[in-house]
Amino acid sequence: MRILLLEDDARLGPWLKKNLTDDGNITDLFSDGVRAELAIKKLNYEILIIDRMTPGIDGLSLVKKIRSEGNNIPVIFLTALNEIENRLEGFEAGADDYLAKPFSFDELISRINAISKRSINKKRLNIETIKSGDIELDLIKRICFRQKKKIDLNNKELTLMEYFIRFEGKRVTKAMLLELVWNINFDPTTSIIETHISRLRSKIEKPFQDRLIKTVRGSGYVYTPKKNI
Amino acid sequence: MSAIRQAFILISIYSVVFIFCWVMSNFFIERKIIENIDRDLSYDLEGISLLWQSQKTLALRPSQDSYYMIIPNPQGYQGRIAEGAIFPGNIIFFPEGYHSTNLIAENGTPFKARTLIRNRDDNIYIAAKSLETQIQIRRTINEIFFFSAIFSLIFISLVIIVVARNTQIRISKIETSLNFIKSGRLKTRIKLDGDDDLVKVSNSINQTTQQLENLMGQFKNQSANIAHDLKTPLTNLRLSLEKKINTKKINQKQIRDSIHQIDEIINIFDTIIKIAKIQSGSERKKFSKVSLNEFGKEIFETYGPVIEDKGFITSINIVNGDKIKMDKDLVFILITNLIQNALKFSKKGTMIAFDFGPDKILIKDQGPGIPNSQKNKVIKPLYQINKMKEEGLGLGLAMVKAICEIHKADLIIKNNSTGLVMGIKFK
Repeated sequence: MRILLLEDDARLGPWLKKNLTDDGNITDLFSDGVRAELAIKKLNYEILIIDRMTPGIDGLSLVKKIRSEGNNIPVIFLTALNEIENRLEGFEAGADDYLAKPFSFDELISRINAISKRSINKKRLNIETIKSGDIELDLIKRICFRQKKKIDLNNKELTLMEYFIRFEGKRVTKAMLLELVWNINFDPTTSIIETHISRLRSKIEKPFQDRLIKTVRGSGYVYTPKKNI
Repeated sequence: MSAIRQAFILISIYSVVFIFCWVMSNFFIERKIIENIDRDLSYDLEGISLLWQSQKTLALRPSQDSYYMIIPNPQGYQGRIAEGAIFPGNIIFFPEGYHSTNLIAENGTPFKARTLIRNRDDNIYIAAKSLETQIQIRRTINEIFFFSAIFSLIFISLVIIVVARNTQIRISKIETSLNFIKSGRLKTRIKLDGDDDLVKVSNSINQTTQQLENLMGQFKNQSANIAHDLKTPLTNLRLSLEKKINTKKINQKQIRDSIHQIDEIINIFDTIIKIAKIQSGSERKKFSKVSLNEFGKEIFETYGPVIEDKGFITSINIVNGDKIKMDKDLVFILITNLIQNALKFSKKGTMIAFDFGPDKILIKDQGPGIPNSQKNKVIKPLYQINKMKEEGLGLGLAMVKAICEIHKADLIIKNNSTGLVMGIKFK
């Protein structure tokens, strides 16, 4: 994946570039918003990772500008500004995700994979029903079927399942699930995710004696669908 | 500008205004007197001219202050017929009309008079009236004005000076207290008697200083506590990293533990910053009307399973009421903290119950409760009742208190027969 990284910190920028490159990506590092804007216009990036406070053009203005020009490359903001209003500003400017410093590299990779163009199965977005393997979700009636059998999921479990399907095969972190399903941007320190995933598993996996949602120790979960029977 | 200087300026302004009024009063009184006299002279002159033409006499209603003279046919007859006073010799050359002149009484005393001269039928008719009575009235009025001015000026000056001195003393007290506060003596309070505007200003300053003292106290405590609380995880981290240097093989568990400890330190900072932001009021941006009915269901859907999975029994009681204006995200944090507390202090198998509505959110547990003597302490940042036994940072209830304050709501901490009831009561 070709990634543009705009980060002016002399230690964090090169460190991220090295590790993103080691992870199999082509990473161009910029410490100045003006140069980054020129590169975005000339090269075909698949994802932009942008620090909000940078010299030249700040990250927020840069994203607003490229969005106003019709460019819809996925954008992740990296920033020390972690209040809800800062997040809202970021999303309003056109960011697809928002990662507050300090963050774990695994979290960044998970989010890159989750929002990169190639990970999004466009045919599944904004439709009434989504299917994945032998699971079918009716998003309007809020009903889940597995192997044509109705599974009784509550609202949160169904939303969890929906996001697992949207990010199938990709690692989804606990922080991402808290944000997406519960709109929580802080660490509740209670086991909300573990409890709800455990309950989801008991309904979606246990009766069928298989495992669709795998735990990646210390970093999140990966949902892999079972092929249709 | 000091109050005394203001008093002198006020006295000067009062004096100037008084003098102006005095001068203007004199002017208008004199004008009115002259108008009346001139009208009387005009009537008198008509009378003497008619008498002279018919009876060749000046015997017209003799009065003390009216005087007449006729100079018949001045070219042919040079005599003068006058009554009551001696008119000046050159009056024959005066133009027709009204004049202010000096006449001489029969006893030889000169006096001021108003005179009207008319030429009619080849005769010169002159009527005059003494101004002495009017002069006397004007003098009396001026004396009244003068004594009023002196008396009122002295009285008002005394009152203004006393009030200004009193105000100046009070302002000086405020100034002295503010200088004390400025120099760091935050226990200083302004003590003023009475119920005037200065007392109100002083009360506001006292309240602000009290708030400042509290915040500084909290800041000092927090700084000391932060330094203390960060030292423990930092020491653990340092020791484990030290150990890793001496270990040839990298132990994955040790690295994970180190990351966990770093996350704990970051969490302490994040929570302290969050509390500070809530307390400063900069978080007050996302208030909206929320139905406690819907909110309660949402909370129970999220936390009900968590509580059950941890081995507790849970229930929710929802009472319908009006929508409450709140920052939903902050109240979610408040509830999360109260649930964490209930989970931490209650025994497994006991009940953790939720009450939502009509104007409050309560979390009831069956734990040991909080001793009354500790109730005010547990809401202070980084305070823990029993540090040795407890997990966590001691920041949760400080956050809960800050969230209640930003909502201008009451924080409920109540021990009942079965355990502890904590929550928020909106106003």
